[in-house]
Amino acid sequence: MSERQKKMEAPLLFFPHDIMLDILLRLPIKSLLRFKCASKSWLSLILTHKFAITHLAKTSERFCRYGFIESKNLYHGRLSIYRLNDKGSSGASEAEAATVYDSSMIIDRYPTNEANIMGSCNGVTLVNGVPHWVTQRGDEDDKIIYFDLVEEKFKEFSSPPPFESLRTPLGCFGGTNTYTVFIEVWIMKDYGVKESWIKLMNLPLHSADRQFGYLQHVMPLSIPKDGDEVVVDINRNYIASFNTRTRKIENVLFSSHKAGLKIASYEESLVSPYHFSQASEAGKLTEAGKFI
Amino acid sequence: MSKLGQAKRIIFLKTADGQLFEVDEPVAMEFEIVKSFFDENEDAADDTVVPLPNVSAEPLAGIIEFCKAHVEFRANGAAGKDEVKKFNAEYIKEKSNEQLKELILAANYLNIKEMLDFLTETIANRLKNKSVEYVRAFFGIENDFTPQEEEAVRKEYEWAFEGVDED
Repeated sequence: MSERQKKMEAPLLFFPHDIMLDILLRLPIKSLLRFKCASKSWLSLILTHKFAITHLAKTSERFCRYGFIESKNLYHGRLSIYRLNDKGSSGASEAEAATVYDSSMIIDRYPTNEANIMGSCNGVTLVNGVPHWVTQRGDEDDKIIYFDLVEEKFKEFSSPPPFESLRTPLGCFGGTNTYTVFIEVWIMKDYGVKESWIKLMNLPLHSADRQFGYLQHVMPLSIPKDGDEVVVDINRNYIASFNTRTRKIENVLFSSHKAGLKIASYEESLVSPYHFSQASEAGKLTEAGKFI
Repeated sequence: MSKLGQAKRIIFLKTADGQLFEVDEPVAMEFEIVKSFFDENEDAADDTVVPLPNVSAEPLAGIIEFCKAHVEFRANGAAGKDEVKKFNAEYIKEKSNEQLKELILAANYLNIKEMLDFLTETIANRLKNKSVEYVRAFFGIENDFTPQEEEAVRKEYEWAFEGVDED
């Protein structure tokens, strides 16, 4: 029997571990949760903290996803989060939605008719591993608060940005006049350093762009680290991308006339937020989360 | 007609199954293993045959086809453009899983970063919506769970088993 015949008859039993690992690291969470039951060694590999961290760091480099929560499911005691198809796979305005998460957890015991996404940008509502929110109370100015995971207390963010109307701690808007609404996107380059707030861009929503109707709600979903595309949630019915160079709407990624959608950007991860401090030590997440 | 002295250099590669390939130098230099062979043997004669004991002829032919196209894309400034995407899509369309595996193992051995990355991504895309059984067969993984153990792992995230493509 020739060498070649032998090779053709023998199955490829040996698949180098690093190639297999690289393939797994490129899979979405849903696939990984399924493939955990391929074998004991896969189960333990996928459950390791290192795998989760590496996957998250790799995922953040590759894509940011957009999705929405549809509140009506809550009546049935289920919270469903849908995602748009992978970004860039099509320019279709009608997104195909696939369930990425299903849960009937606490909602059974605490009936509610609404689930909300408080604000998300570049897929992370966590800034340096800490959840941050914008609050509004009476006549007070908007504030950024955060939840200290170590002390388990809410604290006020000590470096508020130099503008008035906050929408998320990450990207903020202001300034309207009769014909044009400007979207200003601000970022804080160095976390906690007040002076490092800079205006990243100023995008006009011209009257010609009024396909979105009266602008009641505009929220940034992703801000580019490099590149020209800013993705914005408009009126909770549209996800549109802007080109920051041409200052025009590039693409409407999603449109829906349903009421009660909550749109957000997110990243899929196997990492629990409680592990974030360890993640920073590993140095990988700091890299991935540096911008925000 | 090329002038004398500027003739393209040809690199000779010999596969595990004894086939001799004549490859244009820029294409052969995409293979890190070939490049370092000549870096380490600077005085190697032009007709030196580089042995590739871990690659057989079929995947090598496929790899040369891919690298040749990509070397040309880069030379034409087409890198990253639609025609590259189109070529890549065509390239993998008719490839079976077995062929893909042979290609990725060969690309790994030859150490061709760009192609390895492309093949890894291709396989991930091919597997992501597949069943556990399909993935086991792909990697040659033996299921070492008892039926009860497997059932327990499946139960934990039942929704992850919905909407899976047919094998």
